[in-house]
Amino acid sequence: MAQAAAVVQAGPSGYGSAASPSSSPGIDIARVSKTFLVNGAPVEALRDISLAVESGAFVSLVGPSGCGKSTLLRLIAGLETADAGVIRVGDRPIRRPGLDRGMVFQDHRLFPWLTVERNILLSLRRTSYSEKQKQKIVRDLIALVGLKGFEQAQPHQLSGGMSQRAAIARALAPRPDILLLDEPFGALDSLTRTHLQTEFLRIWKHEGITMLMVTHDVEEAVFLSDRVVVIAPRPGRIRRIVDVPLEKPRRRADGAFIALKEEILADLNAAEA
Amino acid sequence: MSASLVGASLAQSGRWRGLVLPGALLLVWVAVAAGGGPKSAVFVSPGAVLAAAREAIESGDLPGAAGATLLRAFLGWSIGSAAGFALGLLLGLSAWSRRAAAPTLHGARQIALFAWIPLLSAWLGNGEAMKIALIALSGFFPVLLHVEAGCRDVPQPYREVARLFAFDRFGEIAFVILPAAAPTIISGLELAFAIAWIGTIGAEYLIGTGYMNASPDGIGAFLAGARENARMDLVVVGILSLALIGFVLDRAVVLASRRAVAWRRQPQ
Amino acid sequence: MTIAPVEYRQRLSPAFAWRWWAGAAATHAAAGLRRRAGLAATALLLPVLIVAVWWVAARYELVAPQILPAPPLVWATALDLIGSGQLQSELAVSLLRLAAGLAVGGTLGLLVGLVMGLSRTAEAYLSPTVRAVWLVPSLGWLPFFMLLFGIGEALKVVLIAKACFLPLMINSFDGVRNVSPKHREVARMLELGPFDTLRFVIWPSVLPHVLTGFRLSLSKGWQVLILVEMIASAAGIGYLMTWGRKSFQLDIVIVTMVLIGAVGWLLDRAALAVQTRATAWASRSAAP
Repeated sequence: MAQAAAVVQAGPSGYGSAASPSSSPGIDIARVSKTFLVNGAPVEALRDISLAVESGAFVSLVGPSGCGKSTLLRLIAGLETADAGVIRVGDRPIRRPGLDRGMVFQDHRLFPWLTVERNILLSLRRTSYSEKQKQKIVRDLIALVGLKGFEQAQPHQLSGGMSQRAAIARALAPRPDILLLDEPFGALDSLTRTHLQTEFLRIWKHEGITMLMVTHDVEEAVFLSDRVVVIAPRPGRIRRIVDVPLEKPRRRADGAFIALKEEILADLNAAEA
Repeated sequence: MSASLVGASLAQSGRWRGLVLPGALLLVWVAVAAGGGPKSAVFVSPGAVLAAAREAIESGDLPGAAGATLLRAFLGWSIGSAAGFALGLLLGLSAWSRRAAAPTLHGARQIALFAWIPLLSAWLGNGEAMKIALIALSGFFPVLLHVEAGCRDVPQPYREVARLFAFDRFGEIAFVILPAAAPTIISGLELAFAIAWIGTIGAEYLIGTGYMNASPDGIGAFLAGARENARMDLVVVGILSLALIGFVLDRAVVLASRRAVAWRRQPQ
Repeated sequence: MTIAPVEYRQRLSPAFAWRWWAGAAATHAAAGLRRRAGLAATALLLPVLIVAVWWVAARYELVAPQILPAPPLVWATALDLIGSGQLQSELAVSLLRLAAGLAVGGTLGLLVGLVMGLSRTAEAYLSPTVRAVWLVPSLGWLPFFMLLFGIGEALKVVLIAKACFLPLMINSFDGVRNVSPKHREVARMLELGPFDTLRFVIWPSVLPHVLTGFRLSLSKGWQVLILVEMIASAAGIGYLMTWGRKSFQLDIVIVTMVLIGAVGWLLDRAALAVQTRATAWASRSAAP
């Protein structure tokens, strides 16, 4: 993997150099509940959820639509506040959004009036790097996600897959403690999706930061994560946690892979019943 | 307190905020007038305005003027809309005629409405014909544009269905194109009326100022006369009645168009 | 297309290659030009026809010459007015007034619209008053302002300002209200403060709407300007047109009418060009 090797030599900004997993904090979700008002009636999105994500781990949340997994992610991001319970990243409780937690949305949410380069630069606005350092970070990241040559492109000129890569670059630029992903590949066609999953695994290997991903796609969850958390709906609570001890990169045709996938799928179907 | 009661009183309290500004202005006006007011001839007290309003209404001046303006506006609007509709239909359906006529029509449209008055008054004299022509002209262009756009933008799938049903040209227009273009056409008709309204008042005003020799009538003339005689109280009465009529017309139009295109709101 | 036999060495020479490419490009350009010329010809069909009918009618005095001046006369008058500089000076007066009114009313409208959009409280206090003012067309305010300000420059600027205020206010308001909440969420995640959010998220989202409002304000301002100049002015294009009418010189009237239309069109085109350039991204990206 010559390209990966070249990226590893990238330099002092740290992008490309494999960071040690233990430097990234873990997530601690303690007895979190959240209720929404929909048309005046209360809807319990999450009830008494507790979950611990070790530092440097990759954990996926799977579950049927409306089970609350996206809500949980948004709570960790700070976009919503919990009604009960505490969420900690490292040892700090979460109150509002911040650069320490990066997020990749399903709709890339790049600003259409900025080029790819400027979109990524904007995420560095509140950091304390010098201009030169910022430029270097942006360059390295664009190389990392494979968008070289598209720095000056505007989002509407990019395909869905490329936009999502840019969104990932933007989320990683301020060196967040953890990365949250809300169905990041859900809006892409299946070919692009599988390709990007493999790419993302490569990126994850180099970053080594704690990642929490919400997805519909069980295969994607088994492919990427160390643990898969199955969430049951209405109200959202943890049904089961499945470890994925297989070595990465995984082969989707592998017997053990398929067995795990089937196991989780069966559980999901039961959860929906 | 139950949630619904709280909600109701909150809504109440929200509404009053809109009245603060006009209320304050009104108070200032009353206070200034009560204190004698500035010595300018231009200042009128609220009382004077009310008195002038009563006089204008009771003498029949104002209602008569309003009626004349409305009638004229409606007449001109009908004529202009009919012409705009016919031409818009042609342009919307025939690409060739569009290429030939559209640039000229769009060019003519650029000429500010009231700039037509000198020419029209030279050609048609200063009487009703000129006024109606101007009003028709003002209503013509919005309808033309909207009908053209509406017919041109009928989605291809609908037109294909018409072909499947072996509709002839007339059938296609009557049963597919016009209904599909209806929302756009109706909003064009509404816009045309708003512009025709302005054109009516403008024409009446110009005649009222003696710009042209004709017998003045209508709200426009009412305003012009008020200004000529430096009667600020009547001017304010005129403005208020314009606001009132404008409000009523606006509501009426919204109500009518909502009924006419109810199908647009249904999920398709 | 036959390729004339050329010596091998010559075929490879840069001079030949250049000539070949130039020829191909010229043919391509000629084809494009032909197509555009074709479109232009169709567009000119109707105007030429109208001028022809006009010319015939004037030539054979089908209508009295006071009512229908002959095309050559109108053309001569146009050249006259341009040559004497009168057309330009009147036009300058009009455009200056438009600029002044647009600057005052447009800026005010923009600010009020932004404030009302950003603050629900401001909207609650201001919105009913604004809607009431909107109900009365600028024309209705004319006599009011005339009594207040007389018929000097102040009148024109105030009335044009009033006309320019509303479209910019409404569109700015719409623009702010339409800022995508998803973009706002991203701004929160990037810890962008209120000024940064305004600069990087809100303003770019609002800009297309503001420019649309600007175009509308420009068009309305121009219309109101002409009207005011017809009624209460001793200078400007509207006045020139009125004067032509009053002295039965319809050739002047026609020249000024055409000019009014042309200027209106040009202003709109310019505003459209600015809008397209500044917000190219808006027309091509789907809202998230």
